[in-house]
Amino acid sequence: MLYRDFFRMDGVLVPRQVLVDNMHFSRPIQQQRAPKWYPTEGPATGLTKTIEKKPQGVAKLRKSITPGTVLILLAGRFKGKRVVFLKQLESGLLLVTGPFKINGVPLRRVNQAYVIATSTKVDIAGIDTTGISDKPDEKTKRHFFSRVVAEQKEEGEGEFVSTEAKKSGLTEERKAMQVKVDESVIAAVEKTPMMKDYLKSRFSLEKGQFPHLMKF
Amino acid sequence: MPSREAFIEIGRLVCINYGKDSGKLGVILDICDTMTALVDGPNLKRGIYNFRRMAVTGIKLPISKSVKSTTLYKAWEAADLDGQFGKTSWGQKLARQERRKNLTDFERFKVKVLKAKKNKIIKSKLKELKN
Repeated sequence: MLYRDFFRMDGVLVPRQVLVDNMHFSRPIQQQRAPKWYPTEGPATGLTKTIEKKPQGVAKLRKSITPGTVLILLAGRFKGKRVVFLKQLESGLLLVTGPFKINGVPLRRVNQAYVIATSTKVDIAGIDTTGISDKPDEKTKRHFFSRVVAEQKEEGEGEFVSTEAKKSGLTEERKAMQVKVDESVIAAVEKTPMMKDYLKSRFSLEKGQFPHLMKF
Repeated sequence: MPSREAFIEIGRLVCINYGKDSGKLGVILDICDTMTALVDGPNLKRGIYNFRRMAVTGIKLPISKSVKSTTLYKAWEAADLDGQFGKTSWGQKLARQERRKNLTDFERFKVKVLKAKKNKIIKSKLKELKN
């Protein structure tokens, strides 16, 4: 029996419970105390939608890019170089070749987005590029373009450069494939006059040239 | 006075040289007021064009005022206005500009190389003649 359990009303002490029972509230009085902590997310209502992420397909090849098209590379080490498009690989990247003997661009993968497709085409109808793929092999998890790490031989102190160290990068398979593919591409290129010099040159913008007004 | 007989008159072939129809040919069908005329052509939308936006050629079609588009096109074909205009130096210049605008990358390369070759020959010949 505490003083707060009684209210003084009109000089009379009224028990709290009696007062409460006689009050009319639009809302029912919470008998329980409000909890001290609330979770940040409410209970699952079953109304939220979970959108299943569709597997991202391979990039759609532009209509202007067909086997034999001369492409202008816009980024990277070979920017400005004109190369011959061979095929689209499994990852969606484009397989191109300089040819290597003409402009130093090897069999290389290139993203469609960083390329201008010209309307010039080289006839590479009979070329066999089936050996080149960038789909990783199930067992070895490697493909044609996988990086080859050099085998470093520890010779003497670490400070001195080992003359026996193998060069990293190119496998014999890649070198052989380069020669094989370029043979047919170069033969096709030499059929058109000035095509070889064209592939040798780099693309650049001159004064008064605006890419959005130029036809490629 | 113009150096050739080229007046603004009905049937006069004009070349629009300003705006989105720049470079297109049309024939004056009627004069609306001091600044505009009704012009129509195979590649041009029939409408009122300002004289300031057109250049008058020396070619004229014998048509009457405000003929229908179909009649105009028939007369155009019969007189071969495109061919006539194409033969003039003006027409040839426009054709050359159009060709240059539509060169492909390979063609642009060839032009650059051949131009350099030509200039080299000319320079060497000139040097020869000077000595």
